[in-house]
Amino acid sequence: MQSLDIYWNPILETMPVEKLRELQLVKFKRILKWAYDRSKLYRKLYDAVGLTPEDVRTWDDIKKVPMIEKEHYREAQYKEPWPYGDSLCVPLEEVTVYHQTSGTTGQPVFQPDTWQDWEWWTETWCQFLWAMGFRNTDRVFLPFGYNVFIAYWAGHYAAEKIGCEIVSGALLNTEERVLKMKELRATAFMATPTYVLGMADTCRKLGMDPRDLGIKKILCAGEPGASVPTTKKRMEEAWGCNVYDHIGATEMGAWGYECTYKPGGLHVNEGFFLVELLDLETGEPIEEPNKLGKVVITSFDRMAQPCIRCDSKDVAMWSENNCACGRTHRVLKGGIQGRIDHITKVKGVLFSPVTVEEAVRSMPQLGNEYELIVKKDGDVDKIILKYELIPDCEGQEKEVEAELATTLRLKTNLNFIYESHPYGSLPRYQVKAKRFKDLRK
Amino acid sequence: MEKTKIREMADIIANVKKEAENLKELGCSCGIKCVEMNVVRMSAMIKMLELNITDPADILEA
Repeated sequence: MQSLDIYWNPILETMPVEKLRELQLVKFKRILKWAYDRSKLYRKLYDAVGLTPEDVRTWDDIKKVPMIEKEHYREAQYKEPWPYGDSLCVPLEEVTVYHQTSGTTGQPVFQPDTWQDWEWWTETWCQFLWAMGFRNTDRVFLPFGYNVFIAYWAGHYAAEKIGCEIVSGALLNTEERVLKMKELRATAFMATPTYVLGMADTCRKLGMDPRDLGIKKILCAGEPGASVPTTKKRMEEAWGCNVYDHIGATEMGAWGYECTYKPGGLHVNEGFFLVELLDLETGEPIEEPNKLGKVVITSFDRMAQPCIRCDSKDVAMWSENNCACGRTHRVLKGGIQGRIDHITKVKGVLFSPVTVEEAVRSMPQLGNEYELIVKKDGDVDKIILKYELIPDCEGQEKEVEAELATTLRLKTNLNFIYESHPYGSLPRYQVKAKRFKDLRK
Repeated sequence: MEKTKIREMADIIANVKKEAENLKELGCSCGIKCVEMNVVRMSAMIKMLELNITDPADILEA
């Protein structure tokens, strides 16, 4: 039995599984009825298949509910009440916060939140910041632009609610940010894995060892890197501290996180979300461990623009192990394994770009940045890996490419074309990196 | 955790919610905007207490 103070809410986080499922069903039915009664978008979606909220009585009935995708929001939005249109479930005057998706996969989706919704976002973040060991003794630096994207806005408010001291590095550049962190003796910060590694590079350029800054923990979001073991190791070694992953999306909320026990994956916040894994071919629910499935998310308590059975396009698998932390909430083994829209066939072989990240980050001769391009050469697929050697390893292209070829051949069954680029010449990113480009599309 | 304590918290939350609603209504009837808008914020926090405590209390039959 763990001490209760490791949990933000021990009642929900250690609830017996059968009771948790009962609670989830009650909450699913509640948000379904809310959306059906108030949202033209959901009403239209459900009427099209003849489904009413009363048709969902048991756990098995949930799979009858049509899934929603970003495209549904896009079609419903950009009309009155401006700009949320048919997706809005509350009077416009109750909306207090606007955010939007990054637009990586198309026209951005607008996200309205009421004050209660925003409190809900904060609350979900509180749960995992607490699970990662954030406390009121922490001085948390936020090297984040505070723009229209939701990113670390909730991290700011949740850390504040926990009692941490917040330092915003919004308009500072990377050099100024690391110097401010050093000056103030920040104990934690939040950033994408790409930027965590970039900040470490900047420290070194300034003649500082990032480990000397005294950072105790880093929260990552926005990219799967913190669940990729080799990337996580790079970050932890660079900063000499723990790095924790979490997963969420603007339209869904922050639904998964890693605790200080590091269970080799991400806990699902099952008190606030329903996370379903569906078979990639049949669409049937997956309950057993170690089988990859499509991640489908329901946010139980977000009211202005509900998110019910949203196809996240992420792929994951359940872990066979419970976490030693005592939480009864399930764990996604290894976090997110990739995205359906990134998993593609190259030369007839299924390929996930995450495997390349694992390989690149496992080799100390390589810098943090790389780029992956798939293109057609006549009728033949070509896959090009652009990489950088760190300055100490210049001239080792031949050996490095031989090692990469062996590793990637084993992991992907594919042959790559390798291109060495001078250190520092590949694009650097402050938020989500765009390292994979499929030019065949 | 003792079920009676969970129920006790849930009951207090229900009372706080009721009192907050009364306060909002009174503030509105007197035309005092700051009362209404501060209660809107309080109500959001009370809702979080309901999600964290009251909902599971009902399921746990606390």
